[in-house]
Amino acid sequence: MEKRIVITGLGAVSPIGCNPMKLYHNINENVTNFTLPEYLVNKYNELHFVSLVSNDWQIECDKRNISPDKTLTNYILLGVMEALEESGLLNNRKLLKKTCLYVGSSKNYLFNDHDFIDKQDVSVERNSYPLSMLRTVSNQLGIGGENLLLPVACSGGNVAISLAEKQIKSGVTDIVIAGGVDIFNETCYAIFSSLGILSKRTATPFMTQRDGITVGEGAGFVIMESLESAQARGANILAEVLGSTLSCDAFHLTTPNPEGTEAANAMKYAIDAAQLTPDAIDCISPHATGTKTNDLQEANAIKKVFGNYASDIPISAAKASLGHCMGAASALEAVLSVLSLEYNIIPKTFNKFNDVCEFDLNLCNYSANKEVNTILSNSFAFGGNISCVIFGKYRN
Amino acid sequence: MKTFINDIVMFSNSGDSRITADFLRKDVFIENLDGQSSLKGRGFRQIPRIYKIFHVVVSEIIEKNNLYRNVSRIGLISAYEYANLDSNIDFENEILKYGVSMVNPIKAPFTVCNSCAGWLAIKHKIQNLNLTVSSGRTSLISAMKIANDCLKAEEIDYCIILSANLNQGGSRQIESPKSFMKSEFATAILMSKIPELERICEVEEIFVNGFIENDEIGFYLQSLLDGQEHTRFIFDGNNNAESLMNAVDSQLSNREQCSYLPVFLQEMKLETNNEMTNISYIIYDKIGSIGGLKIRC
Repeated sequence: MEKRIVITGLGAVSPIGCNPMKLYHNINENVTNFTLPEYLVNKYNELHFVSLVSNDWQIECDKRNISPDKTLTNYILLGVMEALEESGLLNNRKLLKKTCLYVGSSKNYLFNDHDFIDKQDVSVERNSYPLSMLRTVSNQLGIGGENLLLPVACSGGNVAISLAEKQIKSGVTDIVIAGGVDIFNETCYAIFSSLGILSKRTATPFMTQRDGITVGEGAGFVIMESLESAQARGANILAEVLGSTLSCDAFHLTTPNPEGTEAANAMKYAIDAAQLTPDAIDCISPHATGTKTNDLQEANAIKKVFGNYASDIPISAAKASLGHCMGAASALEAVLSVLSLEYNIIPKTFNKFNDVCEFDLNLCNYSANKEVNTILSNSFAFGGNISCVIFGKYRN
Repeated sequence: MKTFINDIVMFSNSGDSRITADFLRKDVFIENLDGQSSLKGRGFRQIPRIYKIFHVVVSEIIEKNNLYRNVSRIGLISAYEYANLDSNIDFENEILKYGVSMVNPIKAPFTVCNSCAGWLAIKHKIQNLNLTVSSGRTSLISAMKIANDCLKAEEIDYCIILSANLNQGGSRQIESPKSFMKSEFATAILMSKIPELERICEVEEIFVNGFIENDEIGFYLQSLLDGQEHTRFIFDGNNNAESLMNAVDSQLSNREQCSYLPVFLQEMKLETNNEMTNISYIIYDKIGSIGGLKIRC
């Protein structure tokens, strides 16, 4: 019999809260943290809103003696510590020694290139080595298993979760800390600006007036472990990972196939892997960036998979509140999915401008209070990466 | 279920390395790659060098193994030590030079690491597993481990694992800012679960682990020793890390040095050493990762 994979801890560093409960509470209360990056005003003709990590960052850091500098390493450190605290593993050195850390991100280097090259300084070597940010966290917390950095951009969180599921099922390890991280910087702002996909207002996924993404930042982590491991140590089980899939639509580097064929196939494979049928899915946590093409392909894919049910199934697009946190996006959505399963409240899709949905989909315009047993979480990335994960309520 | 390493394709530019002199048997040099017939397609001018190199090795391994009929069952994983630093630096230089409003948007996706594997998937219509791993020197073995797991889970039948060692702007300075130029190579490794396919070796075990203290390396080496006799141990490491080398020496009396995993596999493919039977390959990253590969010929 196949191993069951459960989630026993959550960690979140987000624009609207630096712990999972605060994030969940704020998203249900329409809280946002969109600001204009004023320091870029001299370089850009037009500034677009961004969504940066919230002010409670410092409070959470102080609680754990983490430096309040906003760096990728510190984002990972806080997110991982929160997740380990909740799972009861933080001080369990014996189990941490065998625990793996998988992190998805769009950042494959840590330094500011120009500063680094100008200095030509070998002493920065350790900090600039991509793996070193994970090792820094691992060394500090005593995490002794494999460290894997997955630079798969916006689908990073889901890819890490999916790979963790495979590793635990294959018996390689029992516990994996999986998630994603990204930090806002000018380069990433320039990338999206040059592509002309930054929203002139803020992101409004699936709406008729949608005009692009709002760049965000943050980190999200889940503690995944085999059911046997969680039960053996009496851990509080929050949810279960029922199935997942990794795929690629092989269509275009930055534009998904508008037909959504491969995205639909990936969703179907994930539902099959979870041994469910589409009508057993209670909610969708979509990728839903707010760009014209991405939302079009995802809406088409959802309709292909769910048929008539597509207009009924609640869809909770977190990027309307959080912005697009890139590598952390799907990881933060995973955290929200687990909390939705736990509290049976699906976060609303924030509709700041009272737009109309373009695709005949059931975007939650209020926090839906219903029994939630299963959630499908989608994520897509540059290069055509697709990753779908199904979370389910844990049943003994 | 058994998995196999079926084929390896390599390109190198270095005249003084073992790769070119003894094993490559091709007059292909990465620096001159634009002129190769395999790159005559239109639209390649703006494409970063690493994309072109990977395109060549992927094309060759697919053609040689007649995989075009099976693209729906192929996975593609690219493994980088430092990722695509050149593309990032190029993009940032363009911003500094011309301003954000004038930067070439075609270059934007190349700054994202997984775009390379995505671009190759588009070129070869590979609509399946598509991943990018960047875990220092153990990246390639991490990628092979993921491939091994996906093959065993029957999600794919074949997996192409890509790895390159290039002198990029950033990586060159990370390694040594003054003068040192590494020998460059790019490689594609084909793994499968198809027993009928011609193969280099059978995979017994792949592991990657972290270590916090240097002396923990001995623990992982010991696990490779268990239950194996007459085994050759190939060690890919850094001679400067004295404590690690001591740990290796205390565990492995018959170890041999090796430069890169692809070179080692290429040796096996060309059967230059008939003594090879059961082999354990070990690699470590100074940041704190150790990888191992047990194979049987």
